Amino acid sequence: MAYRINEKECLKCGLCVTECPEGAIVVDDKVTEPDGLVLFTTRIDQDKCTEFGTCQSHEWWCPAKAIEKV
Amino acid sequence: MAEMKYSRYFLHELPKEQREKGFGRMPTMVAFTDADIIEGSQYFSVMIMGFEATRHAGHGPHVHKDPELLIALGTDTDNPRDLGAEMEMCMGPEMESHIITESTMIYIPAHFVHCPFRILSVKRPFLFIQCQYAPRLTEKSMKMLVAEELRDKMVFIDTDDTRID
Repeated sequence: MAYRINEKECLKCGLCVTECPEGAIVVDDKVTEPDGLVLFTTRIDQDKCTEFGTCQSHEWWCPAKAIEKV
Repeated sequence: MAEMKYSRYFLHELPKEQREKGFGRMPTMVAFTDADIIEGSQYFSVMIMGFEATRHAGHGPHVHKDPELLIALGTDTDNPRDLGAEMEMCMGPEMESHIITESTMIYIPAHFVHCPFRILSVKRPFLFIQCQYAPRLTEKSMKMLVAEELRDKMVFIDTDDTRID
């Protein structure tokens, strides 16, 4: 079992990076749009992920429900 | 009013430093408290919404790290269920629109996308109360859900604890 981020669903808000207690969600890429909006492409570092499932602990842990158990 | 032993628990006006941050900047804010103002307090605020509130494009979509309870309360004592105003609250990443004309409580789960929130019309000023299940306001804007031309018009707040260096 593992967790992954569904890129099609992800809003690129980066909230998961600040919320994962293991620091297992990392920023792969950061794009700043002309109006200052910053979008983060993130991924789950499988070496750091403890599979404890905090990211599935409540319905909206990811505001886009983009984290999947695979 | 003379300063008394427990005066600190009576909140009438925002301290200057609170007027300069977050929702404290809004002229409609009556008072708010959090753990910085009263030790052990959660974040609560009270605003009074009058006709001027219809002039703003509204509060843009965002999430909080903790659940939130919003209360829109009409001020007609003969009919407290009537909000005396019309406001729109959008819910979820799909921004499902809800038009509210009655006094209403809205529960917002942690990390749940909500807003834009807009006051569409005001017949009678009403109270807007915000309670967060957290010692301080946390907020992360979700500007990416809004068309680029609207982003400058809406209010967006990003508190320090949601920023990535």
